[in-house]
Amino acid sequence: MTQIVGGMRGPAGNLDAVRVYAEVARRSFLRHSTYRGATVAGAFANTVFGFIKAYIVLAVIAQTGAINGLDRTKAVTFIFVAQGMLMLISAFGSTEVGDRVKDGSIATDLYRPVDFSGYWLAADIGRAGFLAIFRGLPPLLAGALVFPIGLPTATVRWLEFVVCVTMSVALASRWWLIVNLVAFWTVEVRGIRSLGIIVLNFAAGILLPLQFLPKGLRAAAMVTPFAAMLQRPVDLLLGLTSFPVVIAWQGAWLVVMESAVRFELGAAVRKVVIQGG
Amino acid sequence: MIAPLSSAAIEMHDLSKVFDRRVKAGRFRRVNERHEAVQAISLTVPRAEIVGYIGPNGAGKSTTIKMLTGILQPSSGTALVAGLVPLEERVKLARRIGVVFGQRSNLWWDLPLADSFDLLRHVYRVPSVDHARTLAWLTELFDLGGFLASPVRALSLGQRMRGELTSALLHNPEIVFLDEPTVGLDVVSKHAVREALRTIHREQGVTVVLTTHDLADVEELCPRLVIIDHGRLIHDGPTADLKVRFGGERTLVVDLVEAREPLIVAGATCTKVDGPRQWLQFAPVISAASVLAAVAGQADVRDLTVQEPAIEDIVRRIYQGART
Amino acid sequence: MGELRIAGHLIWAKIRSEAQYPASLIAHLIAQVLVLGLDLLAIWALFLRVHALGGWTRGQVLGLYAISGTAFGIGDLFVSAVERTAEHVRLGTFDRFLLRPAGTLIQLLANEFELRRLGRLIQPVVVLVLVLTSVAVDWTPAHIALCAAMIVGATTMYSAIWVSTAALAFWIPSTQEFANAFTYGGQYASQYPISIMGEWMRRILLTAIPLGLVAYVPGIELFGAANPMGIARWMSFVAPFAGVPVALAAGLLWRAGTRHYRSTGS
Repeated sequence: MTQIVGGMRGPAGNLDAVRVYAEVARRSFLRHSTYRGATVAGAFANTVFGFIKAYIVLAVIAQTGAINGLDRTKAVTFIFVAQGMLMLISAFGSTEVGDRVKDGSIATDLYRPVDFSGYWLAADIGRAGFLAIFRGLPPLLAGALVFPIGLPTATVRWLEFVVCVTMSVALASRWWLIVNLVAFWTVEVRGIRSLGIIVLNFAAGILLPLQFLPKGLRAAAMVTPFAAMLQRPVDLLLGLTSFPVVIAWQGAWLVVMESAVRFELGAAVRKVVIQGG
Repeated sequence: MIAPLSSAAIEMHDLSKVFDRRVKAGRFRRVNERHEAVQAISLTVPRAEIVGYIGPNGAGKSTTIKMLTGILQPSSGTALVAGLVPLEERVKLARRIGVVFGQRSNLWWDLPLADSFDLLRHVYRVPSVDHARTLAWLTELFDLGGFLASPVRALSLGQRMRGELTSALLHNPEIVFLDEPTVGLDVVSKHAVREALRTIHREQGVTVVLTTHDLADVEELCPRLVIIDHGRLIHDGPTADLKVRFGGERTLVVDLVEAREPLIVAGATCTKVDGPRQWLQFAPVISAASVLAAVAGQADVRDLTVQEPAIEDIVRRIYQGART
Repeated sequence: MGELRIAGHLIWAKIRSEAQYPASLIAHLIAQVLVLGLDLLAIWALFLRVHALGGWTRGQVLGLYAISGTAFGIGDLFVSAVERTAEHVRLGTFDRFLLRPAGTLIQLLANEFELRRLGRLIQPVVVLVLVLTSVAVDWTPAHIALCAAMIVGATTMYSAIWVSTAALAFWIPSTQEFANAFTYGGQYASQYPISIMGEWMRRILLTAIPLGLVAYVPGIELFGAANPMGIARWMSFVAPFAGVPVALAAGLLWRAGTRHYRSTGS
C-alpha cells in the first residue's frame, strides 16, 4: 500500500476524490501486472482444478441429466467461469489489511486524507481489472479446448455480467475488510480468516455449483452475500436468472456490508484513540 | 578428485564466478547480461593467519567467500579450503570451518540463545564434553552469561553478534570466515568483538578471513590485507606496507614556543596554522627527521607529533586508482 | 540415521517455539479440519444424486479419499515445508543450510516444520478409521499389506511431487501456484476414481504424475471396486511402489537445484 500511495501523498489534497481513487486503482492494476510469473502459474493452477472439477461434475450429470437447469454445457461453463473469478473475489483470502493492523502501519492509513474503505475498494477494483483479463480468461479458453462451453452472444448480457462482476469485487472487498479488521481486537486473525474462506468457498458456489446441493442447503447458501459474489453472476451469464434479481441481491448486500465496514472501522478508530492501539 | 596435500588453509587458483543476469531491455524484452563477479583470483592463506579481505560494495568479496565455503559453485578455477574442494566436499568442509555473515543469522529466532547452541551441537555432532568446554570458554570470552537464557529475538545487536560468533566457533573450526562481524555495532561492542577475536586467534591458532567495511577492524586485527575491486585482486601484502606502497602524505604537527607566520620548509607544505601550532604535510619519501630538523632551524619547538595517513584515505585512493 | 536424529532435534526445537503460541496452534488445527470438511461435503452432496461414480460406491470413494488424504496429510506435515525453498532462495537464506554439515533438504524440512500442519492429517485419519471398519474390505494379510503400501506409496509420491516442484524455485522464481496445481491439484484428483476423468488426464495420472498408481489402481483390489478400465490385478500390488522412482528423480532434481543456487547479495 505504501508503494501505491507513496507517490501521490503530496498532490492528494488537490485532486478531487474520483481522480484519487482512479489513480489508486490504476497503480494497483500496474502493481499486479508486475507479478508475471505468478500470474501465469496461478492461471495454470486454476485451470487444472477446473478440469478435475469438470470431470467430477460431468460424471454426475451423465447419470442424472440436467440438475436444476445445469446441463453438461452449462455445468462445465459454470465451472470454468467460476475458476476465472476465484481471484477476483480473493477466494483464498486476503491478509493485506490484517497484516497492516498487526504491524501498526494501519494507523498511518487511517490518517490519510483518503477515505479508508474507498481506498481499498479502488485498490481491489484495480487489482481485479488485471486479474479478470490474465487469470479470468485462460481457464475459460483452456476449458473450451476440451469441453463444450456455451457463452451468451448478446452484448447486453455481457454488459450486465461485467456490472455484476464489478459488484462482486466490491462485495468481496468489503467482506475481507470486515474479516481483517477483526485484527484490531484479536491477535489471532488467521483462524477467523480460515473460517471466512471456508464459508465463502462453500456458499459462493466454488466448491460445487449450488445447483448440486440439496434443496434446503442450496436455499440457505443462495441468500448469503457469497452467492451474490459468484453463483448469481455466473447464473446470469448462463441465462439462469435475470439482471434485476442479481443486482438487487448484490446492491442490498453491498449496503449491509459497507455499513458493517463503517461500523467496525469507527469502533476500531475509537479503540485506537482511547487505548493507543 | 584427490586433494593435494597442502599446508595452506586456503588456496585459490584463478578462481572466477560469472553470473548471467536477466535484465530488462524494453517493456517486454529481457536479455542475458554477463556479470563477472570474481575474475581469476589466485591467493594463498597459510594456516593461523588473519587476513583482511576488503573492497567496495559489489567488489566480489562475498561471492569469493561463498565459493570458499561451499555455497556457490565456481565458474572456473579451483579452490581448496582445509585441503577440501568446497562444494564437492561440502559436508566435510562444514565441520572444519565457521562462518558468520553479519547480515544473516545462524541462530533460532524464537529460542533462547543456549538452545541454539545446543541444536548446533547436534547438527555438528560435537561430543557433549567438548561442547561444554568450548561453550564455557566462549561464554566467558564473549561475556554471554547474562543473556544465554533470552530468546534471540530479544537480544541487542551487539549481544546477537556475540552469539553469532560463538555459534560459528562452537565446533572448533580450523578456519573462520567473518563477513562484516562488526557491522552496526557501537564502539564498545566493536572493541569487545575485536579483543575476543584476537584471543581466539592467539589461543586456538585458527585461520581467519575477515571481510569488513570497517578498516579499524583490519588495522587492529589483520597483519595481512587483500583488496579486491571489480572482482579483481588489486593489492595483497602486509597491512603496514600499504602506507609505504600507496603513499599518502604524513603530517608533522609542531607546537612552537611562540605563534608565527607559516613555516617554509623544503619538501613540506604548511597546511594549517592554529596559534602556535602548525601542520606540515610531507611526502612519504621524505623522512620526518629531516622535516623536523628544518623546522628546528627556524623556530623553537616545544612539542611534536607525526600523524600517519588514515588507512581509509589510502584505500579510497587505491579504489579510485583502480577505477581510472 | 544421524541425519534423522539431527532433524529430530531441530523439529523438537520448532515445536517448542510454536508451543509459545498455543491459541494460534489450536485455531489453526480447527481451521484445517474445517477446510478439509469441504471435500467431504462435496462427496456427500454428489452421492445424494448418484449411487456410484466411475462404478465406485460412496464408501469406496470415501476410502480412496481417506487413504489419499492421510498420505497427503503425512506429506504435508513433514515435506510440504519444502515450499519455503522459493523464499530461502529469494532472500539468500538458503546459505545457512549449505554451511552446515547435514543434507540441505532435511535441514530445510526440519527448520520449517510446523506442528499446526497436523490439522491436515486429523480429519482423513478419522475418516480412514470409520471407512475401513464400515466398508466391506476383505481383511486378508495381503490386503492389510496393500493398504499400508498404499499409504506409504502415496506419501512417497506426494512428497516427491512437493520436492520436485519446490526445486524448480532454484531456477525460476514465483512457482508456488504452479506447484499447487500438482500438489493440491493432485490430491483433489486422486480423491475420485480416475476412470471418470478424460482419457488424457487419466494418462497423466498413470504416467507423468502417477498419483493414480498409488491410490486408484491398488484401491480397486483393496475395496473390490469397479474396474471399468480393465487394469490387471497384479498391477494393484505393484503400483504402490511407483513412488520410489519418482522420489529418486525428485532427489536428483533437488541436488541439481542446489548446484544452481546463486545466493543473492553482494
